[in-house]
Amino acid sequence: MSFVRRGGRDSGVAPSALSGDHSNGYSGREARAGGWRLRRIALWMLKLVAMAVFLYAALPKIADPRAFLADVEAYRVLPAFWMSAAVVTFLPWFELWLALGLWVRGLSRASAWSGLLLMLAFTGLLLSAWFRGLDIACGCFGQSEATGKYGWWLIRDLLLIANFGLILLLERKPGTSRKS
Amino acid sequence: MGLSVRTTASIQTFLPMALARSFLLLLLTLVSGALAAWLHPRAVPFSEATLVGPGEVRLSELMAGSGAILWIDARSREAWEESRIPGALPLSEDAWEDQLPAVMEAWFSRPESVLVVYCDSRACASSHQVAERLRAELGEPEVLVLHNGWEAWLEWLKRSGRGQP
Repeated sequence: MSFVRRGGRDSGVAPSALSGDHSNGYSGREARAGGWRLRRIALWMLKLVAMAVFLYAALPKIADPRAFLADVEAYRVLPAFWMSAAVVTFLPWFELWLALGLWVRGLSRASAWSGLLLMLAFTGLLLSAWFRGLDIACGCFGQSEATGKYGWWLIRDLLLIANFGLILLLERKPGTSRKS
Repeated sequence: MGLSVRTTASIQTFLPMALARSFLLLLLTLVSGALAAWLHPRAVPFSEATLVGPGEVRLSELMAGSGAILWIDARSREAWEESRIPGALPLSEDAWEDQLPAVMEAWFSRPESVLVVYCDSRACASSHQVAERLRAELGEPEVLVLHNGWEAWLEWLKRSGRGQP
């Protein structure tokens, strides 16, 4: 029962409380509750970071889609203009809804999966632009940024991927993980 | 081993459910995006032709026509020296007095030509400012701005297989 063990360690409960028969004792339950509280706080903070970043990214693009268009076109990935227009029109709204969806019961996991997949796609695009030697702005936050800072953008992307991955890990319920 | 079994099981359990719920996110996105495309004053039209602003002309239209064009480069002097549309003359507001005589001379020698101003891309405004000032000072209505500017030229070169000049 790794969950009990992990809960006990995270809670910072004295080792003596864990050394006994903690599977049905009071101290074990207390330790588990402490672990869950820590887990909830961690989850809450990870979601807050993800939401803040995605809202910060989405809102300027929603406010001025035309400014975002140049950034999308600079990647030179989409072959037709209407595709760039579709990305400019819908992507910021998707970012907005998934940022808010993280806090909605029943939608949070879908939002975290969407965020994770979106970040993986963004990272792929960034790498492709890097390999093609394009001197472009990231376009990540819909405002004119410095161009060609690929290393920093990549680190930022990887941190966000880790953030969404951790959200998904922490959102798993212990009971359901053993079934099916 | 326990961890990998549990991870696989949880992915099997939750991924389809999460995907199904992602459709709700997509639906919200579609509805709000469509509303924004309809109502937002800065919405991007889905057809590039409608994005061409007043006084702007697309390169494809110019290339299809046979009229003479006098190209005016409103980018920086350094950019002009490095590379330009063949025959383009530099003209920026910073060096207006110095550069205007050459433009006037070229225009007077071929008065039937259309003046087309360009800057870097759709985002820059200098081509519009230069065109505006030319219209005001020369009393010449036939001054156009190249839609997408230098980027359109590079794109055209790439498509026509000529590489960079």
